[in-house]
Amino acid sequence: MQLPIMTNTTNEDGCPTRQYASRPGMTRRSFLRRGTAATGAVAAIAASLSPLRELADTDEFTVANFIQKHYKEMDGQDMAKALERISAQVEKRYDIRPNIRDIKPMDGVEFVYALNLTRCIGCRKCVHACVAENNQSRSPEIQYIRVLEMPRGTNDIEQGNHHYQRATVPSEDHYYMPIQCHQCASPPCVKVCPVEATWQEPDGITVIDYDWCIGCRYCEAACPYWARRFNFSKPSIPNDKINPNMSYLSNRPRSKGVMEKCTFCLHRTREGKMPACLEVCPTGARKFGNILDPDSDVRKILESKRVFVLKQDLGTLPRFFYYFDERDPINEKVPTGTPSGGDA
Amino acid sequence: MAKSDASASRSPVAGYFVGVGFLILASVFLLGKSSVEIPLTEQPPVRAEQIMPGAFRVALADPPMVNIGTYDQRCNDCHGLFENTRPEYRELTQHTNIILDHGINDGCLNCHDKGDREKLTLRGGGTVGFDQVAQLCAQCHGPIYRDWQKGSHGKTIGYWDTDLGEATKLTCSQCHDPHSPSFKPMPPLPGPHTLRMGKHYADHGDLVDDKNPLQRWRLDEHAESDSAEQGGDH
Amino acid sequence: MSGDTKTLFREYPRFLWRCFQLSFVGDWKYYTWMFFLSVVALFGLNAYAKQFVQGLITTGMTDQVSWALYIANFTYLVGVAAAAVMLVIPVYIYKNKDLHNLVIFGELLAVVAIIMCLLFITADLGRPDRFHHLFLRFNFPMSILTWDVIALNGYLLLNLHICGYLIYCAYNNRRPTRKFYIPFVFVAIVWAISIHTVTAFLYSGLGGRPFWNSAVIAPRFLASAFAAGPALIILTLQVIKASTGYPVSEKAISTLKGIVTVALGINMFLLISEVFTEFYTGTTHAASARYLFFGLHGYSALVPWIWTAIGLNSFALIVLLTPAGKKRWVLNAACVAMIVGIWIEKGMGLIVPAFIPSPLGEIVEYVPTLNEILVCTGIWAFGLLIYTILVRVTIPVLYGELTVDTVYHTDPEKKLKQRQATKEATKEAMKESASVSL
Repeated sequence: MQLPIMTNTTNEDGCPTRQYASRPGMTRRSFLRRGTAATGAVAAIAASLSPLRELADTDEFTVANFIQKHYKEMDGQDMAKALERISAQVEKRYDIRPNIRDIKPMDGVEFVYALNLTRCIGCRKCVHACVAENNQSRSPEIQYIRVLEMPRGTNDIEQGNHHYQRATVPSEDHYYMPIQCHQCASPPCVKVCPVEATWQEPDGITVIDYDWCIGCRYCEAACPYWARRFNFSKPSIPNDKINPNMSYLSNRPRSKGVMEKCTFCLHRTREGKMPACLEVCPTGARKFGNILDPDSDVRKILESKRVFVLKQDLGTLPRFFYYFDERDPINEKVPTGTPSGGDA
Repeated sequence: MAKSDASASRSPVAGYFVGVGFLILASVFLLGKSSVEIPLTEQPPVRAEQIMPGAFRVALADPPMVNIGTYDQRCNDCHGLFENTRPEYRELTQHTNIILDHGINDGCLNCHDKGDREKLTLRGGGTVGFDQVAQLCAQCHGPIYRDWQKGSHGKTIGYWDTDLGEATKLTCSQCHDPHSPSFKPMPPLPGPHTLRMGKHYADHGDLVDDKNPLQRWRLDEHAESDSAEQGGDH
Repeated sequence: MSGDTKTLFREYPRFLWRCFQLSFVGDWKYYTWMFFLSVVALFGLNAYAKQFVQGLITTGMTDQVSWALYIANFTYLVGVAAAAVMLVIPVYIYKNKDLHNLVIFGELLAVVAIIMCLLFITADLGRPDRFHHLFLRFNFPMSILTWDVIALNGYLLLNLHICGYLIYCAYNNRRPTRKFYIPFVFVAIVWAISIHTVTAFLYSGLGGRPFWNSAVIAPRFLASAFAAGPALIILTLQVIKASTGYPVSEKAISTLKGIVTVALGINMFLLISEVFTEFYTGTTHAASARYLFFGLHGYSALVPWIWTAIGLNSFALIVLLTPAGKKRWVLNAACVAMIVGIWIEKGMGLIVPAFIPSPLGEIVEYVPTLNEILVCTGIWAFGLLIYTILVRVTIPVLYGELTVDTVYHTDPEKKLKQRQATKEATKEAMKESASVSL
């Protein structure tokens, strides 16, 4: 391609003149040349975008999705519409009609979790009960709880083994430390989100608006407890494994490209029930309740036991406390043949 | 570039080459794969009964019913027929399914009431029903009992908010087998299989992870060194 | 004046159209180069289309290593963009004459680098379709990422304005009005420092990542950027000189060489400070650093990379400090070495190791996938494509070959004549005012 060519552009003292030459007509050859190049370029761009054909049958990019407001800006009607849309989506994808609500926090409630490290045997039942309850992706696998097998004699979680595979647990040389979202009172993940897609609710639970998250994963980098998970692909859950009891801010199915995390099962706990990980724990190592209630188990534990939090030096103020019993049942052999009186 | 514009006008075929080049590129895109293969690992199935919520075991109710053979029977249906006159420490002829492993507490009648087998006996005299088993256990396990009372030991299921529903505080025998109270080891459920998972610990600390697509080269390395060793043996 | 301004506005679309046309004019080398870049860029677009459909699972990233090659390139390019200031400061503050006619190429490089930064960020987003959420709920000033959004886009606008204004004035044969660009130049100087500082704060503000949680990150970013950026500019200027005959003086190169040497020296010093603090104290927080430099528990994917980077940077520094650096090819080799070395340092040396081990001590190594690499090279090619076009249309404008009242020549003799005429005219103008800036 060429610019219009001028026959005489400068006069004798070298100054440019304002005189234009007539634009040379486009020859057939130059037209063909340009045409081939342009056609080729357009074809190459179009062909390079051909993988986008796969999007034809997706329900991700609808107008309703696009214009849906931020959770905090929705009124009752907006929310009803959004819930209806999500219900229809779930029904279409998983062939089950969910019972999906937007459950608000209760007044005078602040949730706290306590975990008895003496009792945890590392059976990972909590991990999988959580997956089932919260409709987490099975493949690729997303789990909110990691159980660390810790060598006795250290509290350094970097020495923990995430991948222990034993015939039976517990191992006598180890103790077990499950880690999930600590629902920090000063959450680093909330601070860093550029679009306010994650925030702390009045009852202390840090939630995510899955329809608002842009998937930058800054919160995942900020979390010191590795409690956040990203949907690297569209989550896959077998239809018969869907838990139809859902809420907007917790366990409704997520889409590709957004973050998710433990919400202390707020669709259960905001209705007074215990979280799924506690219900399934065979040893009763998990304790949950309202710290503002002086009669709650967790309040009594914090008052009577020696509790600690992970990475206290980071100032995140977790609402997830660990504690040990005074004596350890696993390694303690009760002497035989002597009169009774032991209290192990 | 600008310096040699003249030569550009002398090579008008460039447009054809570019156009044809782009068309070839377009066909490369169209003929190539339209998606990327993802190395996803097969997920080990977890059965619903492995993650059943609630009590760990079924404790005897009050009054206790025992199934021996075909019928549910009350304890005193048999034990009421005759008085126990035999020595306390002996091999059992009935209830042989019971394995008694309760430390130094190795006599049946330490806990079971000699007169009324549907009751539990307390140290200072007196009995309690099977649903009050905690009082019996408390006689030896004081600190645990206090923890249980305060909620730091044991398990409460149902509702944390008792205004909205019932909270069920499980008792000792709903988790512990009274005859063998220590918690039995159990097989753990499958560990994580996250995307491109890292270190897969075998018990002997071998670093090779056959599930990690990023570590296949390690497998090859091992295979090579193995075959080299074998070659040395021959 | 108002009528004049009106003409200026009316001429603008024609100016853009002529620039567009001009970008298709060139010899076979130009065509080959542009075709090559287009092909690489389209492979990147194709790879991105796949990623858009399948999700970020097409990358090597995981929940453990959740930022990697995209963010590494982004960080590196923020540095390149910021480094343009190393041309601007000598010219506008120290009135350096040698760099005077070259500063525009640095500013254009900044524009292109920021565009590439924005593309890398977009590539890294899980939901680019929700980009508008940034405008609806902007978590400012809490989230440093929002600061970065402002810093980068602001810097892009500043440089677009400065370059665009100066070039368009040249196109219209007008002397630029100082008040329309000098204030922006000084804002841009501060802004350039801020973009890289804010980007460093993105990382150093995270308490949960001890590898990043260090006050030396921001100064180190600046030092490495002021080494790698001007090194890139040294090479670029030589390419421009060779391919267009645009005058690039030896003094200009040696000024830049001085800047590069000092910046690289400071960068190495800060690296040593960092390494000393991590390893001498020997706390458990040094796990990432141990992984990076020596490997951890048998995992050592990054070790060869970081030592290569240290080797390249040391080589460059030694060469620059010795007389050998006076030879042009040695200088160029040193520039290439430090561009690569600092790129490794930013990517494999700064972003990835912060995620290994994970905050819970799990080691998952990161290896980029082919698709991810294609997206990255695609963005680089696209950036180079834009830069080539920008340089390609800027030079004739600066030569006075493409102005409002001339027509672009393809005949070399006429072009030469025209160039001489412009030179004369420029000299006249320079006499009138010593502070004409282009």
